[in-house]
Amino acid sequence: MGYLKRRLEFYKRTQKRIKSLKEGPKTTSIGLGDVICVWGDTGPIYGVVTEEGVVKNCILLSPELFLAGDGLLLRAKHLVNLLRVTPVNFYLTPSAQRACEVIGKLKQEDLTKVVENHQKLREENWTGVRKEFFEYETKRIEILYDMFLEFRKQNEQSESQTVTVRWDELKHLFEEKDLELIFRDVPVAQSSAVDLGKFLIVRTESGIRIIFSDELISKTGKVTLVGKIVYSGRIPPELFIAFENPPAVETLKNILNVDVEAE
Amino acid sequence: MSKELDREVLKFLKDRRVTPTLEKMLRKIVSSNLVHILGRKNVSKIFGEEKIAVDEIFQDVLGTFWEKRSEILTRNIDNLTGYLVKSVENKIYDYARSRNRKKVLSLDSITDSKSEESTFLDVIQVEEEARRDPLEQILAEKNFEALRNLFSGKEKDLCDFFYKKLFSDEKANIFASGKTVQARYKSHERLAKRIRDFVMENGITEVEFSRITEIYVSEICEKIRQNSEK
Repeated sequence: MGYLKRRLEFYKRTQKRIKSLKEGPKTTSIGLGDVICVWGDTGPIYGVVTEEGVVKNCILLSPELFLAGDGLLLRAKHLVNLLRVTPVNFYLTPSAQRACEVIGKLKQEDLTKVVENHQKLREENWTGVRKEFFEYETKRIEILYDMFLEFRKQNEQSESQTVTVRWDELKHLFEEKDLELIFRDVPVAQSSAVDLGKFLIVRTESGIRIIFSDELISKTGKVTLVGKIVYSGRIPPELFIAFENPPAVETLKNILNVDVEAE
Repeated sequence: MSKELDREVLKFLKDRRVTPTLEKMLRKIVSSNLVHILGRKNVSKIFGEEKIAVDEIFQDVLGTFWEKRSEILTRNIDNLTGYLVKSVENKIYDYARSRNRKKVLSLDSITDSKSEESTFLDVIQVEEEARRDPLEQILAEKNFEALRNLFSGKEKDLCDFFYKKLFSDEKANIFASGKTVQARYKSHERLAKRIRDFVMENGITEVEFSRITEIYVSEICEKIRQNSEK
């Protein structure tokens, strides 16, 4: 058996698959270029943040310098001193971020070098022991991929709770006098939301969100604007009317109505 | 062993007490990893004595864990063996790299270890510095051993193949032992396949393979050539 093969067998014995993450007492803010340690139950996961957002994209950094190929080396000041750039990446969801510790930050130019090196490593055709090592690493940190999938699933579910209609497709329903009512001039100081008990109207830059109370959700009904039906059917948790220039909530509170059918 | 070690490390982090059990276990891990990662020959080459190496890494690892005790304790990490082994291994890599590097640099009197140590990031350009990186050399030596064992008894044939590829037919002739052109061609074909399998199975990169070849040529082929010339 070759040296690298023996090393891999040894690595597998000492670095077991991570089954849970160990959260700290407070959430750390994590930004682009941050070098992080995700504390797992059986060992650490090191990485560098390469894309920001609610979910952060990271490149896996490995402290196993022989098996991890010939990527760039980074010096760290943690339980380990050296980390190698790998072709593997992972995602950090908000809940995974609670198990993170920021251990350093890369300058923009160094981050660019690391990202380029990672891309180059991804394009390489890894075979044998190295390929097996990267596959094992992906398995070892599988919990992070599972958390990402779970996060996406939840996000998609909450997105599906919103019904979106576009003003462009509705405006033909309204006459000139209706439009004057809807887009009436209002005083400058206006609020962005109004709670009408059965529903809440929120004005955003791109439209109007109507958030229905629990007593209306799932019932059959219709939403009217100046008496014209803009939505009918099962009442969703949220209705979004996309406007280029959304009307003021002060106007809407008097002309927007929801009627549900009696059971 | 790992459960007991976990308990001992936690005891150390809570009371700052290195129990004889912890000392014994951690030293054993350091020692076996030193041999496993670097090999005895490299350990004495880099550190002088194995005991010195074990002492230094033992102290360093405990110091690092002590610095991180609040992170470890607040996160309730009780399975510490994985972290400990990883830390030991990585410190060995770092020692091997920095010790050897300082040795090389001090010969040229261009070392600036203070500034090197104070920077967080040490991005090493593979293309520019790989040759000087001792880790690459250590790995190349390990892979060279594997290649030598694989071609045990076929040294002359392999040298013939390498010399033909690297230099010329004329230079390779010394290893050919009067083989016909066709026999040599067939032998090279077989060798090429076995080498390709060796590279693929181990996932060896092109740069790594050229370093293994360099060592093989200087350690094996040159000796055969010198003996033949005598």
